[in-house]
Amino acid sequence: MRRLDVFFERRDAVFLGCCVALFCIGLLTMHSLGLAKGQPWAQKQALFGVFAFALFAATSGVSLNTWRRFAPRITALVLALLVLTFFIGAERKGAQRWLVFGGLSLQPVEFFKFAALLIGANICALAAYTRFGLDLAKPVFLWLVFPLILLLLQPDAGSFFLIAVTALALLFLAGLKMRWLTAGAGVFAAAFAAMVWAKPYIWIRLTSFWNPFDDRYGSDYNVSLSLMSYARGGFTGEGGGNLLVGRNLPEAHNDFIIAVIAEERGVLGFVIVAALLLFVVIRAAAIGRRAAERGEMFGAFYAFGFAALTVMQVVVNISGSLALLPVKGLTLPMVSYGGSSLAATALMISVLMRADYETRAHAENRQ
Amino acid sequence: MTRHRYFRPPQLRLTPGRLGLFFCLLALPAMAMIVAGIWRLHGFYPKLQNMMREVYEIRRVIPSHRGTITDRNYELLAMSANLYDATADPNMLRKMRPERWRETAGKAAAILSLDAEEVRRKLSADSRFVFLKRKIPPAVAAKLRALKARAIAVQYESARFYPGREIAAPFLGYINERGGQGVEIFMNSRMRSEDGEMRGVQTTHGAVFEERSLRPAKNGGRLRLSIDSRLQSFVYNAAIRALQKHRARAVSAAVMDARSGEILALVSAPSFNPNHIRKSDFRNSGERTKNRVVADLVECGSLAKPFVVALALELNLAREEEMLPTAKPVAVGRLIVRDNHIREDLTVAEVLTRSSNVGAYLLAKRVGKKRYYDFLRDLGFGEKIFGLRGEAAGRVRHYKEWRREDFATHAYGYGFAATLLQLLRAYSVFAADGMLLEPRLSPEGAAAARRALSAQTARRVRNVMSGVTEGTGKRAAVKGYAIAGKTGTANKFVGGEYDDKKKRAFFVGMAPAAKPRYLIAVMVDEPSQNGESGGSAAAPVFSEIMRRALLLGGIAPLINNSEKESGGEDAV
Repeated sequence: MRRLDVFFERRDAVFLGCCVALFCIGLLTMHSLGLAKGQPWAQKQALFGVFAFALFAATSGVSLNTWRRFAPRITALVLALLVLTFFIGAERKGAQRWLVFGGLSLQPVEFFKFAALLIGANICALAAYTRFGLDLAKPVFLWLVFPLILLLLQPDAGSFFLIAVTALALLFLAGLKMRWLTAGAGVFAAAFAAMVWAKPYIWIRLTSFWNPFDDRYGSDYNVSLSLMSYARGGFTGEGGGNLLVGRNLPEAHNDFIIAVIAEERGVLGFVIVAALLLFVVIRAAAIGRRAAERGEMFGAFYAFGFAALTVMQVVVNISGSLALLPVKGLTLPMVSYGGSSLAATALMISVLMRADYETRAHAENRQ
Repeated sequence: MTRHRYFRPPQLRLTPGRLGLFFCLLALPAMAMIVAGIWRLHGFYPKLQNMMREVYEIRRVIPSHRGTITDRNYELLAMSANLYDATADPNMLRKMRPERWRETAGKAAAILSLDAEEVRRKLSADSRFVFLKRKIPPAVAAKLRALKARAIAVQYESARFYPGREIAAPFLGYINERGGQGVEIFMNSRMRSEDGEMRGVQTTHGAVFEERSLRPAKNGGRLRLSIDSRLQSFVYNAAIRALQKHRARAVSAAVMDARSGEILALVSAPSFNPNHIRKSDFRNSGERTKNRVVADLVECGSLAKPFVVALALELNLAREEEMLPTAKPVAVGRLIVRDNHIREDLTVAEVLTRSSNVGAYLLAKRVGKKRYYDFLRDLGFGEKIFGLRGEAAGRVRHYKEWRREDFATHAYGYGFAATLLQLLRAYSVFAADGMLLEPRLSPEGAAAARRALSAQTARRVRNVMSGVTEGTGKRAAVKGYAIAGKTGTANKFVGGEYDDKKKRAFFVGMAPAAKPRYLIAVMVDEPSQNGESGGSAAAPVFSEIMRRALLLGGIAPLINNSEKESGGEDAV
């Protein structure tokens, strides 16, 4: 018991509570959605949850320094998997993102998000201490720019955008000069433009979201149903399991889980989920600031990166369901269905909690 | 300079400014999303509402129930049963895996007891809707629902069901989407129901919510007929037996309560099964479907003689024991009135019991054209009784159009057309002591009757008619009861002349003779075997029916076969 007390004394229990609450909300939604569609999503997700918790518990003892030292190796491993998807990847939903081992399928890009946070924080922490910045250009290109190009080739525009923005934000925080930042953003923009130029249909796909009722039974099918879910849910929602629109909504259990929540629980449910996510981000940013004050720069950058990544992912996911952005197949962290996503999130949280723990322990030691 | 080429100098890194900007940049997209989301949803809301209606709104019929028809004892004659139609959406089913598809089709076929191959053929149609089977009972529908195949559904259908099947079919008729006949149509306004309508949105589990408009279902009222289904089924079976025994074309019969005019049985054979109407039922202008009791117009032959006799007695122009010169034929214009089987003079009473055409004409001559015509009109000939669909009014030509020969033939029942029910009504004069009883289909309400003959004369004629069992109608006798009645045999008028081969055999009679309780009319159309006359074809049927009616009515038979009768009181 005492060990548990110590665990929570030095870790943000509110943050963890929010994460568990989000996971449970997702589980509940998947339960009723699965019943309506006849799919065992809730059961599987619960199993993933147990696995993710085990992963969290197993890695929460790993020190921040170990994570930092192993960041390149972890990233290299994930990159290898990512490269592997080009050769033996299973194609799903028009993108090669999956590695299938027997009955188990793995989405390396989810783990790359975690790896990018580690390596990004690592590079920025180095930048904070090194006088000479030039030698940092090599790891930036090796660990960030190269994988991003891989993502663009997959093509996984959603993850590309997410990680690119997070990386730029971290480099900005680390003090990268504005002109390089602008140059970097310009390079990404140019790469993106090149991709659109090579495959013009992408542009149509990217812009059609703005008129979600043009092709209601074609490319706009998902989004129009998602909007209908919001409209039907109204303020208080139609109640659990009362899924008229949601049951017809493709990918309702991952891309559009928030729309399903909106139909079942209305604006109230939406606000609760959004508030919990906001809280998660605020607590992560607070951890980052505390770490920065203590001079624990790896932890600080990691926490800021986590906050940025989460915000971007939430915004892209929810905006997609509201036809404010094209739907990019990004999950809603902790809520959406998916074993890889959940496992990667558990690892991210594990490291974040470790940062929190070490910062507090550091403060206590000083006193 | 190169020292800080990429990154700002250490003291400028992670400044409050950069951190603040970072947080702002984090908050900005979230805020933008919230604002834009509200704005967009607000703008789309009316459109989304319309789309919802278009996609998810369903119109549901609230089923109503047509009123039942019962007999006088509340036995069901017609009811609306809750049946279902099994339907399927082949295009939706096709999305299943082939083996699942085959399995589902096989299971559905087994439940519906259909050929599996046929079900598969139906399910492979490129369509969103097919009927697998119509009118399946609720138990089968429940089994089909338990299959939980979303593309196979059952939908409610209200179906008319007639437990008695053939026994009263031509009379009760039927009703369906193409039309109908009989009581079903005649009393439609009483039994008609109106389906309600509901508009709403359906949940995943089929429950309807968000009702937008509601028109309640209106159920039809119950109709209670004066029919006694026990008697009805007996009469039907007797009619079918006679039909077969005499190889007749048709047999019709009606039973009336001689006190109130209530119709207790109304049978027309051959009949049809109203639960499974086939096209062949309508062949030969409704051979099986028409209600012959009211639809067939017949010349009644000898059945008209009691009217002549009654009128002659009423006007004191004759007495029962008076002798009439019936031995020889009488020439009337170009017509020779003759009796093939009578070679002697008969009394007025015997003219009836032995059915003499000559006698009837001689009496009619005494009465005169006008009075005889008026009497026929008084007895209700030429006027419809109920107004059922297909009911005939009959025709009595005006006496001024009668030639001498016509007057003669009217005396023994040719030259005017009537329905069997009209004959029954006319005979009620003798059964009800001179009152003409209006036939009624409802056991409720008061009897309607008008006087057409003095009570005394009616009793005298009835008394004479009770001698029929010693005359032409020996086989009409009912053991233990005294009956009164009249036989009739009429040649059919076919293709412009009277056909000696095609006949109609009649018997109309009542019992107990002293105070009649039941009045029964039987007609056998074109009997061709085992007797063709009223006495040999119709009288036995009458006897059978009357015996059963008296038993059901609880009327005690006479003890020791004495001449004194117990009367019509319910003695049991």
